[in-house]
This record gives sequence, structure tokens and C-alpha cells, in this order.
Amino acid sequence: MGLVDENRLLLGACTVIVLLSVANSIIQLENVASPRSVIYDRTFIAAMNKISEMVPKDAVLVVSTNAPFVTYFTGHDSRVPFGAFSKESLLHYMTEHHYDYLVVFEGRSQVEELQSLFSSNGTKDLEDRYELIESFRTDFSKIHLFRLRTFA
Amino acid sequence: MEQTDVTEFQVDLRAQEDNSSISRKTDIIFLAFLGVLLAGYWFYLSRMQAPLWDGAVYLMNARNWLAGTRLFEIYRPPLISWLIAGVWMFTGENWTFVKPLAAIFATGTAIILYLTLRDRKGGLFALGVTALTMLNAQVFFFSSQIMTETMSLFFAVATLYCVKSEKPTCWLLAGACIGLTFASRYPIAIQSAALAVVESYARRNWRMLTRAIAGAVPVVAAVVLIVFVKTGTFQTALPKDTNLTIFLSPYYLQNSITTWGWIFLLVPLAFVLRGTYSERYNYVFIAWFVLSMIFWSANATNEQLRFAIQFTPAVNFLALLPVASFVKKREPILRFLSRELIFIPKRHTF
Repeated sequence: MGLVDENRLLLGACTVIVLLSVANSIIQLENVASPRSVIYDRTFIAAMNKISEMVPKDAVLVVSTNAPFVTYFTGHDSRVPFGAFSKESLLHYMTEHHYDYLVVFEGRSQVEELQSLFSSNGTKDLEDRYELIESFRTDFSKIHLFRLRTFA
Repeated sequence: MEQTDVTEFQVDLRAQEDNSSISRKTDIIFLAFLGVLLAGYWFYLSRMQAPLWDGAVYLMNARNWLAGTRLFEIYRPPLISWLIAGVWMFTGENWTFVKPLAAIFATGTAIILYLTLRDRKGGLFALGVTALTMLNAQVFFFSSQIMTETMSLFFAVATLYCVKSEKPTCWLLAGACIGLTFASRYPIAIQSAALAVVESYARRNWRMLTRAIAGAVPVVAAVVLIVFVKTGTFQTALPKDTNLTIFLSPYYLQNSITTWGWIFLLVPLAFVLRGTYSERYNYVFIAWFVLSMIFWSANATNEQLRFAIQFTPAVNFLALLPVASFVKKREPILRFLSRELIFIPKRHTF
């Protein structure tokens, strides 16, 4: 077998392996990120921009999750209420730090204890202490912007 | 006798010509492959509507570096945010301008990897390893994200290129690449440093190692100092993500087919063939794979498939090694195995 034949054989073997690998990659590629990931959400940034317009310039946003996205795309500082475990403790957390605005990604919470509070039913329950300013439906998320009610 | 010598010389010459013609062909195939790769990146980048979580953090940190304000997350490696800030200095802040950053580094990785392997292992082998690496699902996906994965892969492969060079100035550059690997993704610097150490050992060339150290120390020191001055501390990760244990997790082995595809099944074969160890050139790839597997398997509290990206070239190199070796020996498979398997004494053949 000559040198060229040897290379042809190697080329053949490599081609088969690469083709199998490409097939595997295509299958795996769709699993690397969920198809409902924020990276594919065409309306997510627009919702963030609207939130940014609706709150005062220096307001800090308390968020159920996604703090880096909210901070970057709204231009407002955001805080995840670590340490809060219920509606009352969340209220205490916000009043203690003088935070007025709450952004809830429905059904998603970085604080495990607040998962049910930020669920579809839980967000309705928030409305006695928080005023719902606006709800945004993006491709894959439902986002609620609340303001803490002030009682005279 | 003279007649025979002339004939052998002509055969050798023809073989060399054939080989260089094949090299030219593989170069052309490689360029075509690069074109396809770039088209793939363009398609994937156009689908991206927002960055990943970590990408948003790097964007925030870039904004903070530019504005001179407190960093959003202080333990993140700074190089990507510095590059983003550098781009924004000229273009103004817009995250879409830096979307192709990882794809640029990925393209550079493909070129350097191909060039590194081509001279020693031939164009076809280099093309095979490069294509398998760049088409890997994890590598490809993260090449379209504002993340540090392909940037650190680029500097690790650049380190490999420099340590494989014969030029002493390249060994100094290898050190700089180790430092830049550190700046792009802290833990991957261990892999880059291992490449320099093992290659120095394999070539019994300790001057290479001292030069690499001389190149790496100023870069690493500068990165640590700049981050320390900015944040008042130097932290490389969250404490919860740095629990190393001697009880290695099977996570990466269990997910090896998912991560690297069926080709991973050829890697164990490379480890039981004599040819793998007889060539000192291969040592660095063996060490790269083994060390990385052990390092990430020892970190049982944070396991992610993307952590395998930086040593994917080593996996593909080892997987193709038995194929190349078999083709080179030009003999039936059983005879080949009986000669090459390390646990069959050399005198026994089928």
C-alpha cells in the first residue's frame, strides 16, 4: 500500500468518524441550552427596557431570579432577597433596605423558600401588600413588576 | 546496486510529492471547513436574542470596569470583560457588538490547532482532530456565547502551539499564553501549565520550562494585582464551587458519549497501544486528558459538561491516534493488535 493509499484510508476513517460526530453534535446541540432559554426569547430585552422606564432612575429592584439580566438590561441595581422565606419576611427585607420595587419571574425563584410565593397563585396573593404596576408576557416568561404599597 | 538506489530515491521523491500534494489538498479542505464553521457561527449568533446568565455578568463587569464602579461579581475572570470594555470604548455600549467575540476565538483555535498538528502528524490527522473539536456540541454552542469557554480553549491551544515550537522566543510566549489562560478562566491555567511542564519533560528541555515560567509570572501577577486594586481582594470562585475531593466523581465518564460522541470509545484503545507511549510527542496529550479528567472529577460540587471543552482537543487526538497508527502499520487488524497491545508480550503474534 503506497503513501497516498494510506492517506486515503485515513481520510476515509476520519470522514466516517467526523460524520458520526457531526450527527451526534447536531443531536446534542439542541440539548445544550433549553429551547425555552432566555437566549432565544425575542421579547425579553424589550420587557426589561419597559421595566427600566417604569421605575425611578435610582430605584433598586428586588428580583425573584435573573439578577444579572435585570441589572444589565434595566440599568438598575437588583437584589435577590436571600434570607427571606415568606411574604412577611420579604416585606420586612424590602422595608428594612428601603426597596420599593419587586420584579417577579412567575414560577421562578432563586430563593427556594419563596418558590410558592412567586408561583402563579402566589403572585396574586402578593397584591394586598404590593401594587401590580405591569405584567409582561415574553416568549417564554411572565414577568410582574410590583411596587410596595404605602399605608398612611 | 546503483540502479536500485536511484529507483528508491525516485520512489521516495514521488512519495514526498504525493504527501505534499495531500497536504495542499487537506489545507484546502481545512479552509472550506473554516468557511462552513464561520457560516454555522453566523447562523447560531443570529438566533441569540440575549446572553446567557454568565454572559450578562461579564457584560455587567465590563460596564463596571469602564465606569470605574464596583464589579457585579468580583470572582469572575477579568479578561473577557476587559475585551468587551475595550470594544465598547470605540463603539459605545451595545451588547450585540461583542456577540461574535467567542466565535472569533473559536476560529483562531481551529487555525492554531490545525497548524500545530499538521507539521508532525500530517494534514489529515490535524484536520480530523480540528474538525472533531470544533464540531463538538459543547465547543460549538459556547463559541456563540459571551462566555469564557472558547477564549480559554484558544489560550490553552496557543500554549500547546508554543511549547511544540523549537524557537526559544515561543517558549516565553507559551508562558504569556498560560497567563492569559489564567486571565480568561482561572482553573484552565492548570491545564496550560501542565502542557509546558510535560512537554519540557518529554523533550528533556528544562530551559523551555524556565522560559515559560518567566513568561507566565508577570502576566499572572499583573492580573492578580489589577483585580486586587479594583476589588480589594482576589477570589477565583465561589467557595461552594471549590470543594475538591479524592473520591472522584464518575460524572464526566458517565457523560463521555454525550460530551464527545461515540469517538470517545477509541480513547481507551489509545491507552493500551504501545505506539501511544513510544512517541514522546504524544505525552503532552495524554497528560492533558488525564490531568483534566482527574481535576474536574475531583470537583464534585460543581459538575457541568462545558468544563470538558478545554481538553476536547486531547480527547480527539487520543481517539484518532489508534486509527492513524493502524493505517500506518498497513497490516491486518489482529496482527496489528497482537503487536501493539501493551498486555500481549511482543513475541506473541496471531
